[in-house]
Amino acid sequence: MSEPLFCIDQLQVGFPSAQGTVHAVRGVSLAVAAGETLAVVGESGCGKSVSFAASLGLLPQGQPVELSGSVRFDGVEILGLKETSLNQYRGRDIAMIFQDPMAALNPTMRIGDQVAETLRVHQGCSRGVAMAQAHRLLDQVRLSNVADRLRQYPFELSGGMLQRVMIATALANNPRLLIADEPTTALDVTTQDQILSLLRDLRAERDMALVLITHDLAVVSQMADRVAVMYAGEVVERAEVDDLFTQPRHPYTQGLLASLPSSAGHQLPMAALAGTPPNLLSPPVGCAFHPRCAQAMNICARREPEVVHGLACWLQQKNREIN
Amino acid sequence: MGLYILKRCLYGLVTVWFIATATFFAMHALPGDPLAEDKAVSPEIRRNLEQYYGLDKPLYQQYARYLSNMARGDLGVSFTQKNRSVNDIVAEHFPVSAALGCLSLLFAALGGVLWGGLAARFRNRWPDNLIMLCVILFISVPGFVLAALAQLSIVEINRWLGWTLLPVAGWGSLAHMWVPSIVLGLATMAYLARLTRASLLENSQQEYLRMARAKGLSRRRIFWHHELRNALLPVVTVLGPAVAAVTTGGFVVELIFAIPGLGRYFVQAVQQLDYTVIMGTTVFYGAFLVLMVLLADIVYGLVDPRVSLAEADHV
Amino acid sequence: MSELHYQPDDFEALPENARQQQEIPPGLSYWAKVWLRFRVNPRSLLSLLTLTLLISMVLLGPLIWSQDPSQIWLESRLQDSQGGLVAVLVEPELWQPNIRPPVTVPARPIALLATTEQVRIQWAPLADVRHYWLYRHTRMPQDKDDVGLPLGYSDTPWYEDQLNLKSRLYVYTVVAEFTDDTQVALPVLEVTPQLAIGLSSARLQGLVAESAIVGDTVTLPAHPLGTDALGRDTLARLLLGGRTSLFIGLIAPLVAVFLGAIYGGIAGLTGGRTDEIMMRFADFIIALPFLLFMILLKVLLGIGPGENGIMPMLLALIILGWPASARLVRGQILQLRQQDYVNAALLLGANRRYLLGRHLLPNVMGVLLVALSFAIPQAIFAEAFLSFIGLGVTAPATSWGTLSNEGMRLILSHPQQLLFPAACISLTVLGFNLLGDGLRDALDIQMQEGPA
Repeated sequence: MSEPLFCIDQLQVGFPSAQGTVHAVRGVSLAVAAGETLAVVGESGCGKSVSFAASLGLLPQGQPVELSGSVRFDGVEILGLKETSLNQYRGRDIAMIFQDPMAALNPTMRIGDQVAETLRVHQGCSRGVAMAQAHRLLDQVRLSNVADRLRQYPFELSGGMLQRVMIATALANNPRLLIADEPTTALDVTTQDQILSLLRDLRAERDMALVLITHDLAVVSQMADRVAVMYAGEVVERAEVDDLFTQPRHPYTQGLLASLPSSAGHQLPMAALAGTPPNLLSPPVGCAFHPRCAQAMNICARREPEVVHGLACWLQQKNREIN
Repeated sequence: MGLYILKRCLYGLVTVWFIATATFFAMHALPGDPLAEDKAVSPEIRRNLEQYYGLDKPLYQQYARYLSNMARGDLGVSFTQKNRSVNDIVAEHFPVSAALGCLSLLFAALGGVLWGGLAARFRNRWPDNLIMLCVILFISVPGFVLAALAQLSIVEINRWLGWTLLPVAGWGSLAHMWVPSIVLGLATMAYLARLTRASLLENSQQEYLRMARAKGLSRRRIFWHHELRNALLPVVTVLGPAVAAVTTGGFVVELIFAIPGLGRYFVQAVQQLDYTVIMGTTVFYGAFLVLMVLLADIVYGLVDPRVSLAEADHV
Repeated sequence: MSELHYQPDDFEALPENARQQQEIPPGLSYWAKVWLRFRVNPRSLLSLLTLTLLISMVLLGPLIWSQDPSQIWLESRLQDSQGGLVAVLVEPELWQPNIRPPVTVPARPIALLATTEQVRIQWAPLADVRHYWLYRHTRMPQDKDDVGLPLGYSDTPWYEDQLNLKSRLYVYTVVAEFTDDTQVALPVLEVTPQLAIGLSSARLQGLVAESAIVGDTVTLPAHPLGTDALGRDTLARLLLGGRTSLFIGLIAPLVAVFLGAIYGGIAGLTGGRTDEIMMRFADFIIALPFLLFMILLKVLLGIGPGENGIMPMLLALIILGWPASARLVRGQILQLRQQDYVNAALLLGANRRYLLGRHLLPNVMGVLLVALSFAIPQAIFAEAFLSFIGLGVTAPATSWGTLSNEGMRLILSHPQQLLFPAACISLTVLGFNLLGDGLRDALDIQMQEGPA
């Protein structure tokens, strides 16, 4: 069986600080195949964004970081590559879009130049050709008045328009993998839907792999083929999207789903997920979720659960032992 | 943009008018008589002189005459240096000050951005610490002390060498110019270095730089096309105050290095209470500084696309 | 699949108390956190220490170092650092040696008396001499032309030297010029004068009792940093000048920031048209060229009978200094008014006074503290600048800037006269700058700053 397009294997990311190392990502393994949409879900600070930023070498510069594990794109190891080697992939085969389109575009550069820049750098085409192509790309992301927009600055556009610009920039070189980090969080609800359907259409047209990092389960149910649920720097459950929503197995996933308004219209108690995520300076021994888990057992505070059938929870073993 | 510039010009004019008025009334509120020092003046000559200088008219007429003279660019006549108009003094000595100031600003701007950039590049390592130490020192030592120390060092170096490497004071050749320029520019350079470093560091955490990296741009391209331009914006905003700092700082540097610039004449006029020269040069300096701040604002408007529209909306 | 060995109770429910609770960091008050962040910065602590030392030195110094800073003694002008030296009392009197000296006078010159008040030299007369030329050197002459300072000539075979004598080695050379224009140098005389002080001068200075007589010894006042061009004690003057400089440098910004805070507070809380007009005026004052206007105000305010220049300086600094803090406070208030927690507090029925005390004041205090620590160096600089160009503090008061001005005239011969006050200014400003940096970081405030 050939390897999926993009594989993260046992990735660990730690940030040394004066108080000790913050273990932001603790052994994450994920994979996404071509033509597939993987959603990565979790509360903020669970390490979902950091995992992908670390994979592409996009962590803040000038800050010490401890990296281990493996990240492969198309079978080639890319974790810890030099900047120049990474630039062979970034923006060409792997593109990424960010949460806040206002902040992610250069405020002093015209829209057209920002889209054209990535074309000029990766394809070496002239400014005129790149601009014409930028025009076409912005048309594809359904931006209005493109001819005018090319000459405008980011502050003259709305958040939704800027997110379209960012998507156009990301898609410029026909990437095989697009990583979207909370692409709709900063937008209002109607714009969110437009951007999501745009992303869905574009993914289908181009047969690329899409990774959607989000904390919004509604987005997950609309978009994803498969889902990975992260908690405290670990993947606690992996499942097909339908299975996850119908049969959540991990208590944390159950808690997340319980906090959603149900389709029947009645609300489950919001207290399903009491407490706060653990401090990653010194994560709890055993299962990181056990202090908040309503079904915690003695073993949960003793040993870390292994991942079996995409689930890291001792309840699974308990059920097997009993049966 | 046009509206923005117009508005700025209007503000500038009001400021200059205020400076001129304040100067006029400040000088007239002073006790004492500018002509009293000429002991041997007969009443007749005295009357003629008063008439000549317009001192016999009521205050509002003097003020009106003063304003209309100023508007026509006539800054008055010196009391102590007879037959020498303030315009002559400005025309003769301002070019010297301007040359000194331009050199210092050039030095300060280049040095400030360079050292600030280096400090940011080597953040929290020894080059950064060393540069920031020098910066805080240059900010904390008064300009006249730096100038005096520089002069003392030149004397010692010349004595040690046994020949004149650099002239100790005076004006004329390039050799005269560069030590005073550096001394005058040091404080401003330190401020600019600090600002550049802070701005670069603040910008380095910006999301658009991460986006630029995600686009696969080279480090060099990111620095020149995305980082520097945004980081230098705040530096442009302090260019106006920097001109003011160099101008007033020039007063002492010109005094210490015996440079025949306008600043030295201004200080001398203040010490000798040569009222017309004080009035004339103050208004001149005021107008000059207002113009410089205006220019800096316009430059900022050109560099930062966000300013012109946002500002014009306010009008 | 690996075979795991389970303990019997592994799958029993975990008791509530066995859950690992993460310790929650203890809640600290705002200022406690600020102090915590301030404390870890060594530069901030160092600046605090330096400033405490400087201020206590200037405040307490004059009490301990009680020499009169305005006591002029031209005899002891521009001395280098010296401790309490012991001098002998002498009475200057006209010296009239015998025209015919006793035969005991040797051919080589001898010193009959050697004190720092006078050195009396006599030698055996030579025949056909027109003049005896006297030279004084500070070391042994290398050759016959290297004889040092020409003192003058004498027609008699003796000479009294009173020229600026110090207690150190001198080498005197007497050159006899004969009527036929030939010259002969007598053997050199090495002398180290004893430190002496005139009796009447010592009485005037109050160094000795009225009963003291010539020949008694007296301990001279110590000058650890030497004396200035008028013989005044440099240390005492530095301490006095420091009081003035720090007084101006601290009081002017304090008053200006206080007034500015009230002005900005009124503008921010009133809002609307009043606010706009008030802030336009503040913007206008800010736009004025600062030092130029300082000069103007100083000229306007500074001329009056018996004026020593301190009050005009204070006034000028306050008049031009208040708008910056007015802007800051107004900005803070406007910002706070939009904060959700303030709206929430209002909705919950908090009254205005509670809001001011609980939310506004702590926030504004931080900003003002930082503004103050940057305004102080600016005021100290302005004082030094104006005093340096001769528009500052005048006698009987003095300041570090005035002392620098006096020192500048002696830069080439006695650089320490400039360096001492300059170092004091620089250290103070450095201290406040570092303190401001540390405070800003600890309070996490973004400030606009530019060259003064």
